[in-house]
Amino acid sequence: MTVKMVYRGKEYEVQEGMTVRDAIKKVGLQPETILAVHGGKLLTDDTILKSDMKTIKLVAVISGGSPFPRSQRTRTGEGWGEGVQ
Amino acid sequence: MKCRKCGATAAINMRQHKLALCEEHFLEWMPEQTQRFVEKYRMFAPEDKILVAVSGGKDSLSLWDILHRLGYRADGLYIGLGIDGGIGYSDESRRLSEKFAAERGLTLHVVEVEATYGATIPELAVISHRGRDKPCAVCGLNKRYIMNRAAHDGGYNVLATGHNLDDEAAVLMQNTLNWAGGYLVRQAPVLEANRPGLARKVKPLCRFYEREMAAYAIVCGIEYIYDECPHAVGSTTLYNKEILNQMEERRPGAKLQFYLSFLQAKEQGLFALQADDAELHACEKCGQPTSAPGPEGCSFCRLWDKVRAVKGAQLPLPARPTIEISDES
Repeated sequence: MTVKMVYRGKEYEVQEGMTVRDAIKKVGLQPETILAVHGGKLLTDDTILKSDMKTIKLVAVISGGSPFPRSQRTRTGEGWGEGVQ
Repeated sequence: MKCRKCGATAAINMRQHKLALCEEHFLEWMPEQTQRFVEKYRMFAPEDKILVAVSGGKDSLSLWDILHRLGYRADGLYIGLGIDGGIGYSDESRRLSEKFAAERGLTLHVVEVEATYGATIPELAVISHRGRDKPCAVCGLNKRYIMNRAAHDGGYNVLATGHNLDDEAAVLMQNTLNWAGGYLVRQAPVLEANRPGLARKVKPLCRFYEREMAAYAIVCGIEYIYDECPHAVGSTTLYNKEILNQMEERRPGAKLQFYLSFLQAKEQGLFALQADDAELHACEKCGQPTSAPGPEGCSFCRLWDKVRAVKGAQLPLPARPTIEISDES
């Protein structure tokens, strides 16, 4: 089973059972520059990806500098979830 | 991974501190640490009136949020640069800044460069032939001028910006590679208002990683502009950040140590001989502090005079910037 990760509008499929950190490295991104979000909640790097997670959103912590064309980039930080106040 | 404080599932692991925290304790930790840095570097006191420069990005909005939570008197300043970049960058960043202020009942001052001075920043760069294809140089000059002037005119004694540790380390790296002594001596968490007309500038987030700032904005549910300015794409700063993050990946804490060792070396007098003692006086045209002599005025006035000469009577000549107040608490 695979888990879908979305980064700046681009989708990646990775195997379940990997840690978030390994999955980020696997798709060629720097773990230091990425936060993984699932259901509006942050995931730590050691979280094991499970197939029932379906989609993990990868958030670039450094704004800008995307290697992808602008059309693939999201414009705002929408959909973060409710958060904790 | 578990939260060190309560044992619940952690939301973030900060490898440089060997510290994992859940959302609740992370939201406590960030303001606590900010307060610690404010005191350590003697940035400001509860009675000070603070102007926070906000761009609609994660750092500046989070800074404003933290200062508000800590109970400081902090208003915001948004500078409309007129940058579109195909994504309506400035319009969107203003909307998000205004939304943030309105939701919290905070006061946001807005200065639109085009409405106030007659041209957008990209137009200004083209007309003045500065910065080749990038308007970053004229943008920086305009932002520094407008921030200082807004702080002075608004009676704020502290100007706070949202620079995080990655920003500071990237600039430090560039200045070190260039051995730019003059810039190195001025890089600090606090720039004192040691000349007449200059606002005291502080960077309360200078010891937080960019990762922590993004995490804070997400956990708080702050809606921020995800894209950096379109003109920053491919910049040296972003390149330096990438290099520093490669070092951080191999050795957690590398960025923090680089910056803190620099501050320590400076405190020990390493850059004393580079101290900047340029004389400042009031610009004959606008009254803001400048080191430039003569009736032609400061670099800001000279830049806009050049633009006015090209665009002629189309441009207004304001005595003061137009400052709108979008929401009065």
